[in-house]
Amino acid sequence: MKLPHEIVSLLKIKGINDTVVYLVTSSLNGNINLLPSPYTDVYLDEYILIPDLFAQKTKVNLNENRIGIISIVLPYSDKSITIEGPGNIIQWGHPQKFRFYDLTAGDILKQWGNWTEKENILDDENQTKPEVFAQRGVIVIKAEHINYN
Amino acid sequence: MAKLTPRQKNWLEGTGAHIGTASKNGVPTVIVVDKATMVDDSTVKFILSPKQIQLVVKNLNENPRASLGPGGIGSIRAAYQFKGKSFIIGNELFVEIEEIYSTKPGPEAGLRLDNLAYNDVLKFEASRWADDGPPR
Amino acid sequence: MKLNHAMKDALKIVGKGGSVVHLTTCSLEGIPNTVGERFITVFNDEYILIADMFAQKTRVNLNENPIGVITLAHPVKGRTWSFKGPATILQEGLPSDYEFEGVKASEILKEWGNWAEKEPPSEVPPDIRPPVLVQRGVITLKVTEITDYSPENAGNPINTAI
Repeated sequence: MKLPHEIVSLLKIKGINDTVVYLVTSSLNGNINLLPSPYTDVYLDEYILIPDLFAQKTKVNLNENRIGIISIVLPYSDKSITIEGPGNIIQWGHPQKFRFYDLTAGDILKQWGNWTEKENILDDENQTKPEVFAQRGVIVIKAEHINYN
Repeated sequence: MAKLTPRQKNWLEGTGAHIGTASKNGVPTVIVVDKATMVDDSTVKFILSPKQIQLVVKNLNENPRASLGPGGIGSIRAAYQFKGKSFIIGNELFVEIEEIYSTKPGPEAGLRLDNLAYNDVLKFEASRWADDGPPR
Repeated sequence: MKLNHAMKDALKIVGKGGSVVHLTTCSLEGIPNTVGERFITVFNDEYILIADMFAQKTRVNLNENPIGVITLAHPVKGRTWSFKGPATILQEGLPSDYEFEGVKASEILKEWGNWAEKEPPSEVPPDIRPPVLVQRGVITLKVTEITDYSPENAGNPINTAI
């Protein structure tokens, strides 16, 4: 589904230190994991992208259970939303034509495979600046359902 | 239980495995066995020496979980890890495999295979590997 | 404990005459994980280093239960050794004076933090060569116990003076 405009603009790359989201995944037997990410972008108004900076349990979970939930507290309000849908990690090494719904690995990696080209993560202004930036791929969640809480 | 493909069975039988076990509070021990026999599509057995049994029996009595990494020459192409419950009968160690993972370096490292449709796993393997097991 | 020459010769990348190894770790509640590793070396005679490129469950396990076992995947020439000891993943970003079991993280990362540059995997056959090497850190195991894993002597301590 297409995401509403205000959510797209919330999750698109803007300045550093903007919206933090949680990516919620689960193992097949129900062990939940929360991955906080200060970095997100949106593609085709439908796919939420997060750089895979060696996510550990997220990766273990998506490798056996391809579903994710993005949870965001809306700014300037006490409302929160969750966005649910199929999840995957598109990684360096996938063939270019590797497909996840409307996306191909070649396209996603070319645009977001080096996230620092899009967003200045290594800027000293970044309050969560990593010492070393090592990106294995791009976590993708396809929005299929939104819950307003 | 997880159903192994012919390729997975051939590699496991041909090269045996490094078998990881652990105490219930998480201290690992490894034994290595260079041959294995599939009992059915999901269960593999290894013949152990008395010393090997002595080394793992305490772990298995308190924690039956085991991990199998195919060993031996050429096993880099046996890019799998099998996990399951194990028990000893006589001098044989049985492992009932419940989880299968790809360990191929790259984007598929860590991918869980046993929850994919069996035919999809067969296709996955055929598209990635030219062999159907260790050289004979 | 110090490793001997034969062990140091074996614990190298395949291109330098070494061997693939298996690294076994486990969760705190005892779920073991065994994976093959090929970027391997010995540091200061008693630490075994492995590049962290694809570790997932290994990483989860070491974060909660810092102990590991390393076994040579190809037990040829009597090299049936099992190396056990405290293990962790040293990563860029640790304080400059961070030490693990008597070794400085900065020393290890300076030399082995960019493995692909130091030892490019040119000898790896194409079908199993990782397409892009991104390294997050160095898995570091201090060897405190060496035992034999041959069937007849499984569990017996190895005398490193041999």
